[in-house]
Amino acid sequence: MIQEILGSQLGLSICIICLGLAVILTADAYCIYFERKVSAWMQDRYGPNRVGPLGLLQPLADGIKFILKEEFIPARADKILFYIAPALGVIIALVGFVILPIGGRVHWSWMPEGTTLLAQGASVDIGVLYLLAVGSLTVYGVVLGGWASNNKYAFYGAMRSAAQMLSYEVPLGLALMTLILTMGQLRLEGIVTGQIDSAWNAFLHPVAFLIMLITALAETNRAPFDLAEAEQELIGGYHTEYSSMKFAQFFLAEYTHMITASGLLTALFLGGYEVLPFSRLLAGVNGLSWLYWISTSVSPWAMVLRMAVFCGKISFFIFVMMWLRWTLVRFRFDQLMRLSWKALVPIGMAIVVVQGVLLYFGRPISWISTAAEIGILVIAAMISLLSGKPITGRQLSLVEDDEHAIRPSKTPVTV
Amino acid sequence: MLLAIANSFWMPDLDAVVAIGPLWGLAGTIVAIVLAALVLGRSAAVSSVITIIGATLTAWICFTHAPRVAQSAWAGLAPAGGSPMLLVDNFAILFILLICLFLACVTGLWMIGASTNARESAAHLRNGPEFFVLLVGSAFGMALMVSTTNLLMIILAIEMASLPSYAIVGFQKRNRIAAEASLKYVLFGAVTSALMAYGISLLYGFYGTLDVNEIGRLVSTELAATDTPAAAKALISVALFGLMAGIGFKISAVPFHFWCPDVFEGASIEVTTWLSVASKAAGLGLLLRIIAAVLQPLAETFDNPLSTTVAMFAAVTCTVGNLAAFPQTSVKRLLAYSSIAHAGYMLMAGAIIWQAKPGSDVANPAFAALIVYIIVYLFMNLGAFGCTALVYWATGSEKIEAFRGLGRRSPLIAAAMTVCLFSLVGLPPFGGFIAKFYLLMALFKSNLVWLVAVALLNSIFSLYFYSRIAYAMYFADDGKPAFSVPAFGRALVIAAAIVILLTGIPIAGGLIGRANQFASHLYPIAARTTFAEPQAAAAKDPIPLAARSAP
Amino acid sequence: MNVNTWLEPIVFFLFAGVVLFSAIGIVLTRNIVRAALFLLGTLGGVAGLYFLLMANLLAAIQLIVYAGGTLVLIVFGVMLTSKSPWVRFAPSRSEAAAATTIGLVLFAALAKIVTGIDWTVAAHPADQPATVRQVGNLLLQQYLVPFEVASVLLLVVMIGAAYLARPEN
Repeated sequence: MIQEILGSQLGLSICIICLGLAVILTADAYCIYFERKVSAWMQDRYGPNRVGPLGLLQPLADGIKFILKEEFIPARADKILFYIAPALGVIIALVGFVILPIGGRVHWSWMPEGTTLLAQGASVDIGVLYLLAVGSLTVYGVVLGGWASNNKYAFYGAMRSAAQMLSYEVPLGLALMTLILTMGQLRLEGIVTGQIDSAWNAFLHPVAFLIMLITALAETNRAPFDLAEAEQELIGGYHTEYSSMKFAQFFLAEYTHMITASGLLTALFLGGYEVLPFSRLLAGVNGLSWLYWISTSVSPWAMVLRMAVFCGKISFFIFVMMWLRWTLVRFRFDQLMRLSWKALVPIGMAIVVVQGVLLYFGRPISWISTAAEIGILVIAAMISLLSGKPITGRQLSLVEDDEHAIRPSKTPVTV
Repeated sequence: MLLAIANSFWMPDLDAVVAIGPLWGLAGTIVAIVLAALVLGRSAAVSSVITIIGATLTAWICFTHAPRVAQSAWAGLAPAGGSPMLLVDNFAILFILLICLFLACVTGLWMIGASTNARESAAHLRNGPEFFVLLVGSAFGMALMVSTTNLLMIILAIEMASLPSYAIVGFQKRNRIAAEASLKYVLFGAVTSALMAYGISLLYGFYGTLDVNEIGRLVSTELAATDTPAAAKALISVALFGLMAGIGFKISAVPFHFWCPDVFEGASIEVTTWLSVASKAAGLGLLLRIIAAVLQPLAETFDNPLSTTVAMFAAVTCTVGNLAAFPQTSVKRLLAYSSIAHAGYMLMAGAIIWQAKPGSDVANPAFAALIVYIIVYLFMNLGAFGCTALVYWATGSEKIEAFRGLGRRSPLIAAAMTVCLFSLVGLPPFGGFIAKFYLLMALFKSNLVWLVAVALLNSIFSLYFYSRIAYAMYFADDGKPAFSVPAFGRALVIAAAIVILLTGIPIAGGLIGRANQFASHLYPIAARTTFAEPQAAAAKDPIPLAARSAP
Repeated sequence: MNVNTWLEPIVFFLFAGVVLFSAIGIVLTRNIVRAALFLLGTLGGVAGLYFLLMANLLAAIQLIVYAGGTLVLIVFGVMLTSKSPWVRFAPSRSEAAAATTIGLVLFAALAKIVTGIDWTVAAHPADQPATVRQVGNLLLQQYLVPFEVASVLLLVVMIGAAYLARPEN
């Protein structure tokens, strides 16, 4: 029976989805723990260390606390939407991970020789577009939650979030477009095997990688893009009025979204489940052939190792996101908009054009594409420096007429 | 492998690219304005000059194209196996030529306005590049409207013509009336666009093709067949009505005309002039194409109700326009209703059914009449709006009272205005008379006597309100001081008046001859060829079912 | 055991139910934001149906353009413009009658289309290339001209929108 289920594609997919669901929901809880530990570490504190050894049971205690707290609903809130919004956020965040290529191809010993199965939730021929589609829906949880609360701070948070999402989807799409252009396909596992055959996209398309990383932060509403929450200005933004488990659901959605976004970054730019870059070349070196074996073998053990590698890379990205959160200050809203429309979008368009031209003149997967992208970044930096208008500086047109306005300082604020 | 894919793309050959030259001209003008704004700075003067140059160049391209088109029956741009997306026939060339000439005139009017009245045009002056990009953009859309019979392109072209128009109507952002007019225009346009999109998707669903000619053939067989149930016929009419709603909006035919007076009043006068003529000309061009495609196959087999429907719409549009013009006190509003009425007259041409005889060289009278009418109408409206603009810039008012004593205060302008007004009525020595006469003759020959009667009655109505302005100019002097107008402005309106006088008698014969000549080359559906020799009908379902995606 | 034979109808009726339920919800609710949420359900359900029909690209476009783009703008606009979030729609009798008539006419038209099309599908096209590539080829071949015109349209409209939205100082 078990052999039959694991031996069919549908059964295997469902098993992986169930497993993934359990792992992600647990990981969400531990992400919060991890976040507190990282922040404590960066601020030279201890962080949670009371519940269990090293405070490892803290998430459990938090969970119980959330469930036991009073559930408060504002008097004039739209009750149905107030209930639906956080749930919608979690659901939409969860449906994205299903297509992440975490395991590669696997062959069970009881299967006929030569047949393999794909160890991932689903293989969709429009993989990248699917993630884009699901990503574009994430805004609803925040917007509806903010609106249903009938609170002006929550409402402002929702508005900011909607505008931010709409703006950052454009550079995200452009960064993805360079990948689609050069990889020639949208299927995520195809993109991963393509990277194993040549090189990681992070090396070939460093600028696209950078844009994607920034937009991933913005799309997950993480600092320095957490304007929708902005404790200092908006109390808690869209979740000001939420309490108890519904409040926790927003956190669940945020961390799930982080995990999915990290998985996407891993699959698209960091070679997915490949342990080290260029493992095909390294396989020739004595004692390193296991690198290539992990990436390509159909053995179940290799599959497990691949999943572990994938999860490791996701953890790395999550750490980077936390690192950035506790390092950088929040953008002001006009800076946020300018960063997207005046920096990321033009640079993204430039790399799409350049990669298209390279594609037309030959196979672009070489150091030329890296050099071209870095060249574009340098040119953009030069233009920005020479024009003397920092992308994230003050909004000059608005303060010109106002005699009480603070004059813009000469020192540019860099990203 | 990637390169192989890149090489398998369809690239239109050079002939096809050259054939759509006028469209390149307009699109290039847009790009030139944007680039000039980037390189030379945001200067309204530079933008307006580029617009005039671009319009003139495009008109010149049209001139050079016309003879070649007439010889070789070029029919546009299509990949192998597809129906043509763009038609480049004489019909399209002529309309694009008119649109470009008018674009140049309107830009000239804008320059005159910018030089006289600083306060009014401040927004325009500061934001010149945007204004002209939008203006040329709408011209590009109108050019597309007259050069396609593909439903997809029709939607795109109408949107291309409409969306920039909404923005230029509300271009003075501080002006409440303009903002309100723009909003009304947008809402009305959105609803009619939705109706049109629904109609088009229904037609595509019924017949599985986007080519209007093919649909026309299928509609006519279905309508003519005796065993078609009445409900099916009604549904086809619903779909066609949806399609016509989009076009009716552009030409402000009556159930879709409500935006017209408010928009004409709220927009600045150059924009009003532009919308009153170009938008209508393009809409009528598209309407004639569709009517020809749908009605021509019907004509012999079927006593068709579609022609009657168009005739009804025309009669109602004309009457409503003229009646509503009676109580108006604002000249801009009055001219808006007058333009609705004229849309009605021109719509009458759509009711004419004409069956091409094989081998016969006789022109389609509907097309010939409409061409004459549109050419004359263009100059009449340019003159009338130009005079109104000059009076408005000099006095700050566009009411009829502002015209009092104009015959003494600025005799040349008053004379030009009088010529335009009486030509709009359709009185004998002017071009308007020739245009109307020719149209009525064509109607008469097609046995649409009742439409002739409606048109005549309406002309008599209209004499009253047009002559109110003339009366104010010559017989109601209230002793206000004389004023001078910019020389270029005077030259523009006088030139328009002279053209109207010329088309009245001296070159009327030549004009009609030319129109006939043009019309006889127009739209020879049977002789239509494309570069790639496409099959007439596209595949019924262009996107087959996908491969199962699950592994 | 072929799972698809019993799984497919279940999933179909699930999505169809979502579509119908939310469509009725849009019509019956009097709160405009809730109507928008119901619209999300309809659009999402239709996208699900597309996925079921293996029209993956269409489904993704449905989600990206309608659910993720247009509807966000609608919600945005509704939230920004309605004076009170508790504005109620109260359509009059005549409006309801007109809407019903139009709905019936459109339903009849769609019924004519649905019954008029030959729905027989050729043998399952398992070895066909991905739809994305086919759509891409169509866009760059048969529909190249509309594609390019649409890009000019977007450029012009973007300039207009940027002008109208820019603060005048």
